[in-house]
Amino acid sequence: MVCEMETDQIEEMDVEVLSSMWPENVGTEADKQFNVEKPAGDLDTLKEVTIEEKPTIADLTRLPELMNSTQQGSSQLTNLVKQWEYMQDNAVRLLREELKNLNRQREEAEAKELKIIEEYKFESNEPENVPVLDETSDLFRRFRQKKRDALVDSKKIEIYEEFDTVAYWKQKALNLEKMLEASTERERRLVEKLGESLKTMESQSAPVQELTQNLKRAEGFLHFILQNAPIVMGHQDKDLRYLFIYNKYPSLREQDILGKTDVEIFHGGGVKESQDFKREVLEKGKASKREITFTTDLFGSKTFLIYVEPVYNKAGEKIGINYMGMEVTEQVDKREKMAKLREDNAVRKAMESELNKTIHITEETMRAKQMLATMSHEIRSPLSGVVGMAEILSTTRLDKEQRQLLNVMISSGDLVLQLINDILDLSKVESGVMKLEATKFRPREVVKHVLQTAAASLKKSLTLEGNIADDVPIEVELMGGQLTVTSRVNEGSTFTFILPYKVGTSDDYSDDQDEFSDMADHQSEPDDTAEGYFQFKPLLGSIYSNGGPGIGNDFLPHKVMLTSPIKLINGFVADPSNNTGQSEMLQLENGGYVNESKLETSSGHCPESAHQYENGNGRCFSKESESCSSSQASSEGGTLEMESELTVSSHREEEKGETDLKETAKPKILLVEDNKINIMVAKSMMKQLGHTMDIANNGVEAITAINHSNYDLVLMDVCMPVLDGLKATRLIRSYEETGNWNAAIEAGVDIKTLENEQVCVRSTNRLPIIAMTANTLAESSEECYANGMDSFISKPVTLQKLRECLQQYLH
Amino acid sequence: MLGLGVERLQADINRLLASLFHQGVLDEQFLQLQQLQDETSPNFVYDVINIYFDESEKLLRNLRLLLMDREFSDYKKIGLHLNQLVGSSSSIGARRVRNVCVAFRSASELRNRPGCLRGLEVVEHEYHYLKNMMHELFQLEQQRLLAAGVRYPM
Repeated sequence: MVCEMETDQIEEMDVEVLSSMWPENVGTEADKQFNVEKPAGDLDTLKEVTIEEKPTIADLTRLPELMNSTQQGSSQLTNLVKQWEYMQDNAVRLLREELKNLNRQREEAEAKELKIIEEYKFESNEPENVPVLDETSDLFRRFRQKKRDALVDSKKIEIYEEFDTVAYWKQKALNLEKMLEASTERERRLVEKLGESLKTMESQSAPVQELTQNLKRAEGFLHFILQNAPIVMGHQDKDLRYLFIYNKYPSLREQDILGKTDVEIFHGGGVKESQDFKREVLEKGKASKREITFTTDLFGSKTFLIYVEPVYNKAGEKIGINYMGMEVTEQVDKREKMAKLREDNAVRKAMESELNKTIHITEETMRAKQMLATMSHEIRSPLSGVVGMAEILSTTRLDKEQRQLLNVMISSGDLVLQLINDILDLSKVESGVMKLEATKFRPREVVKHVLQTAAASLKKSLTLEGNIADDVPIEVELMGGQLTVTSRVNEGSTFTFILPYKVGTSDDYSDDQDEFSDMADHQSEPDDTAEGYFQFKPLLGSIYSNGGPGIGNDFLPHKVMLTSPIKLINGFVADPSNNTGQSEMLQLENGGYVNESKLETSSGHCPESAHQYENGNGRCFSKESESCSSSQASSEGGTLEMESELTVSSHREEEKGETDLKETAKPKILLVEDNKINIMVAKSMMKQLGHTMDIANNGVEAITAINHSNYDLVLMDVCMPVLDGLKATRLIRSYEETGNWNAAIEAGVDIKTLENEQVCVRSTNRLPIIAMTANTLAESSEECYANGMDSFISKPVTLQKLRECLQQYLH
Repeated sequence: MLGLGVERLQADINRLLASLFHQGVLDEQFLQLQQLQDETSPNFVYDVINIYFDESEKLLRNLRLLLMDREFSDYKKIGLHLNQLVGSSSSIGARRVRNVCVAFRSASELRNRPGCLRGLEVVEHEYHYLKNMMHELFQLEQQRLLAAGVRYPM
C-alpha cells in the first residue's frame, strides 16, 4: 500500500527566516511548520475573481537548480512535500481506522457465524458422530436438550423439542439458512467495500500535480493581492543579473531583463546607486532597506524604497540577492513639503519675535526720550537756582580769588543750563513740537553770541573774528525764511549766508554796546520798512599763520564779516564800498573766559570801537575794513602793542610816533622774586612788553640793587626768604624819607655805600613799588599799603596785569 | 599730502590741551605762557615747565621728608615750601596743583599732621598727573615740529 512510504512521525524542520518582518511567537505550531501560504477557506472564491496575472518572467531552467541549491528553495520544496505527506498521512490514518473497524466487525460477524453454525449443527439432521454406545452421549443429549430449552426464544410457534417433531427441525433449518445467507451477504459486501476503497486509493493523483495545484493556488492569492500594489520584486544572481522579476516595467521584454544587470537595462539617475547598494548588501551579507530616487528615460523620476537581502546556498555561499521595491515618490514629496513647511513656520515665528522685540525697543526708546525730556526739565529748575544764587552772590563783596571762582561757577552753570535747554529743544524738535517764531533780533548780539559759542565748541585752534559793518542795524526782523548758501571756490571756499530781512525805519543806528537797550522804543511800522539782506561772509584768507615751523602757536584766523551790501530804501543808504567806518571785532583765542574779561576790562577804555587783541604772535589787529582783510595774516611789525585804546586806522601812525617818543628813555624795572619760575615768566612777559628787568632774589638784594641804581619801578614779591617784601618796602620807604639806610642796617642788612653812586641822579619821585601777592592771609591789600606799597598785582602774573601796571606807573 | 601729519598732530595737541582745560588741570595762565613763546624764545614753555618740575620735585621731596619725620613740628617750613609751590604752580597755570597746595597749606596752618599727610599725597598725585600730561604734550609738540619741518619742493 501506498501508506507505507510515510514515516510515523512528522519531523519538524526548523526553517530559518532571516530577519522576519513579523514577530516569531505568533501563530500555531502546525502553521509554523510549513510556512507556505496555504489557501484557507473556500477555494472557490478564487474562481470568482479575475486574476490578472502580472507578467512574471522566470528563467525556469535555473529555477530547479535554485530551488535545489538554496536552503530557501529546498525548504520551500520540502515544505510542500511535507504538507502533502501530512495530508496523506491523515488520510491513511483515517482509512486505517476504518479498516480496523471493518475488520473487527468482520471478525465479530465470523464469530457469530461460527456460533450459529455450532448451534445449528446440533439441531441438524446431520449425523452426529457421537458414540452411541458411550455412556456419556446420553449426558450430551440431555445437556443439549437442556441448552436448547434455555436458548431458543422465538416468537414463532414454539415447537418444543421435547416433542422432537420433524416440523420443528425443518423450521429450525430454514431459520439457520437465512441467517447464513445474511452473513455471507454481509461478508460479500464487506469485501466489495474493501475492494472499492482500494481502488479509490489507487486512483489518487501524483504528488507533483498536487503540489502544482497548491502552488497555483498560492500564486493565485499572491497575484490577487499584488495586482494593484506598487511593488516590484526580483531575484538576481551574484553578478547582479536578473533571474526573475515580478511587475517589471511593461515595455521591457524578457530578453531585455533576464541575464542583464540593472545598469544594462536602465539608464539614468539612481540606477548605479541601486546597483551599488545591492552589491554592498551582497558583500556585507546583511539585508537592508534604502530609499533611492531614479530618474530614467523609461519612467521619469520616481523614488523607490528597496529591500535587498542576500541569498545563500546550503553550503553558505552567496549566490545572489532578492530584492523588493516599493514606489514611494508621493510620500517622499509629501515628507519634503512638510519639512519645508515646518522650516517656513520656524522662520516666520523667528521674524515675529524679532518684530516684537523691535516694537519693545521702540517703545522703550520713546519712553526713554520722554523720561529724558522730563528729567531735563526737572534738572533745570534746581540748576537755575544754583546759577541764580551764584549770580546774586556775585553782587556781594568778594575778593579777587573768590570772584574768579564765582565767575567760573557762573559760566559753568550757564553752560550746563544751555546744554539742558538744547537737549530739551532737541527732543522737542524730534517730536515735532518745536515752533519757529518770527521775531525781532539784534544781529550784533547774535554774531557775538555765535562767535563765542562757536569758539567754545570748535577745535580751539581756530580764531574767529567777527566784523559787523557799520550800517548794520541794531534790530531787525527777518522776513520769510529763506536761507541761501553759495560757495565760491575762487575766494578760497568761502560761503555766504544770505538772509533777507526788513527793518523798521525808525530804528536807531547807534552802535550801542548795551545788551538791552530800550527795546520798547523800537516800534517798527510795517508800511515804513527797509529791506535788504545780510551777507554773512567768512573770509578764510590765508590758512596758516605766518612764521613757518618753530612757532609755538598756529592759529587759523577765520573772520566772519557781517555786511549789508544792498542799498536800503527810504533814505537809508549804505554803500558798502564806502565803508571805512568802524567795525566790531571779536577775536577769540583758546578759552572763552579770557575774552570775556578782556571785553569787560577794555570796554571801560573804548566803548564802541575796535577792541584790539593779540593773537599768539603778539600782533594786533586793530580793526577791519574789507580792503585790508586779506593782509591781516601777513606780519606787520610786532611792536604795536600800545594801540589798545585807539580806534581808527588813520591813527596808527600817531600811535607809532607816541611809542617811539616814549621809548627814548628806557625805564629800569626791578623784579624782586625768589621763585625761579615766577622770575622766568615775569621776565618773559616784560620782554614781550618791550622791557628788561633786573632780578633780586630777596629783600636784601633788592635794597642793594636799589642802592646801586635808580629804578623806575619795583615789582616786589611779598613772600621771600631772608627779608620779605613788606619789610623791604618799609626799609626802602624809610630810606626815601630819611635819605639813609640806618633802619636797614639795624635790621641787619649789609649796605655798601659807594661814593660813585652819588653820580646817579636820585629821583625825587617816590619809587613805585608794586606788591606781587599770592593772596594769602598775610598779604592783604591793606597790609601792602600800610607797608608802603603803591599797588599790588595778584599772582599769577599775566601780561595784562603787567601792562596795566606799566601804563599806570611808568608815565 | 604734505603736512597732513602736522595737522593731525596739531589736532591731537589741541585735543589734549582742551581736555586739560576742561578738567581744570590748566588755566588761562598757561595760555599766557604760550603767548610768551616766540622766535626769540622758541622753547619758552618747555623750559619754564621743566624748571617748574625740577623745583617742584625738590619741594615735594623736602615736604615728604619733613612730614615723615616723627618729631616733626616745623609747620612754618612747610608753609614756606608750600608758598613756593603755590606761587610757581599759579605762575604756570597749574590750577589743580595750586588748589590742592592751598588746601594743604591751610591744613599746615592748622597744624593738622594727618591733614598735612593727606594733603601731601593729594599734591603729589596731582603733580604727577600734571607731569605726565605735560610730557605727553611735549612729545606731541616735538613730533609736530619734526613733521612740520619737512618741506617738499613745490
